[in-house]
Amino acid sequence: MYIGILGAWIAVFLTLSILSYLYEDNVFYKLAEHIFVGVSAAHWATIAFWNQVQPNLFGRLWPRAEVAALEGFNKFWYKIYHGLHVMFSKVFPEDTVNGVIYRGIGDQPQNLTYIFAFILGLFMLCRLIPRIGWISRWSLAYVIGMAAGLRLYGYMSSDVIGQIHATMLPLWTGNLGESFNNIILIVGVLTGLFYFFFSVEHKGALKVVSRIGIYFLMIYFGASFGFAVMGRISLLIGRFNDLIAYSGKQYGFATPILLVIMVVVLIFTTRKNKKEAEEA
Amino acid sequence: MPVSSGNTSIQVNQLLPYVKSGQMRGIVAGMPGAAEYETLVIEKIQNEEGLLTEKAMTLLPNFMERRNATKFMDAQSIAHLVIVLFIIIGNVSFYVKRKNQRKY
Repeated sequence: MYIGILGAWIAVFLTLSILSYLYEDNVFYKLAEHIFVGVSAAHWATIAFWNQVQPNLFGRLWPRAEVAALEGFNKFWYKIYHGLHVMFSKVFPEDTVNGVIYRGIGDQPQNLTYIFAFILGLFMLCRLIPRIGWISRWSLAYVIGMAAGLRLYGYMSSDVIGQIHATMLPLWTGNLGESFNNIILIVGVLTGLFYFFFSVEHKGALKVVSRIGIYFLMIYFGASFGFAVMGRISLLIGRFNDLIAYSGKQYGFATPILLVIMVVVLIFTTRKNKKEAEEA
Repeated sequence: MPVSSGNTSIQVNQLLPYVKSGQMRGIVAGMPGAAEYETLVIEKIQNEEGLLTEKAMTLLPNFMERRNATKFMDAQSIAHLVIVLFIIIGNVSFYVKRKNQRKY
């Protein structure tokens, strides 16, 4: 209950702090901005570590196994894991079931080639030490090269071939509405593409084609802007809904109290700043 | 694998071509999409018996009572009307101003 009330007060404070920018850049806004950046970075790092690094990297290097059943190289390999467990027991857990000791994470099959990913990950951290910061370029080169290769295939399939295929439509389908839509789509694609074709001068009839292309692009940008505004309005409605919900007695009148405090502080600081500026 | 998604309004324009080309089954587009989806879910629940688990049945009255997305659509519509009104006022004042400047 108390956690809920505290959460409401924090939510109201941060919302009002961000909205206070409408008045002017002030200490509340700066505080909320810094908290937002810090919390976002920390949240992202934590989620990435516990959802990706721990289960998918460490889980593949050291999948859960019975210590007594380990043999050969794995006997030594799981000793390294035990050493890591001693230092970071939450990340590298060990457990005992009916007197049998188990080490490792998850039930994915062991894949030691992930050691290269682990090393590249460690290389990335070298950036923190300026003298050996250059090593991180190896990791970045791998990430960029791999991402480019993977994305190229994805883009070719979904954005180029898929979209070309979707544009090859019959101009007459027997249904007036559908045929009209198909014609609009084909004309829009061709004229829009022609607008960016600069190998011939856009004169005469070609100018008309290019102009039609501009109109289609303008409609697209207008629709994009409209959706963007709609999205922001939705977010604003959500915030106002919370402010209204938290203004009640069950939340200790969080919204009105914080609003009054912030207004008073803002008036006071503005007057103080004005006075200092006049004196200077 | 069939893919559908729920998106913020800002992403809708980028994703519509994938729906049109059949690469995605559909999208729940922003708050209006959420309101439509909410209504469809409630209609489906009301029309089909035995669709839900016991736990969901206890949560259902609360869900049906809240209907947040549908309720928020009123505020959204009013906000859009206000924006449209401001655009009209802005354009009219721009043309009037330009016309007056030409006179002198």
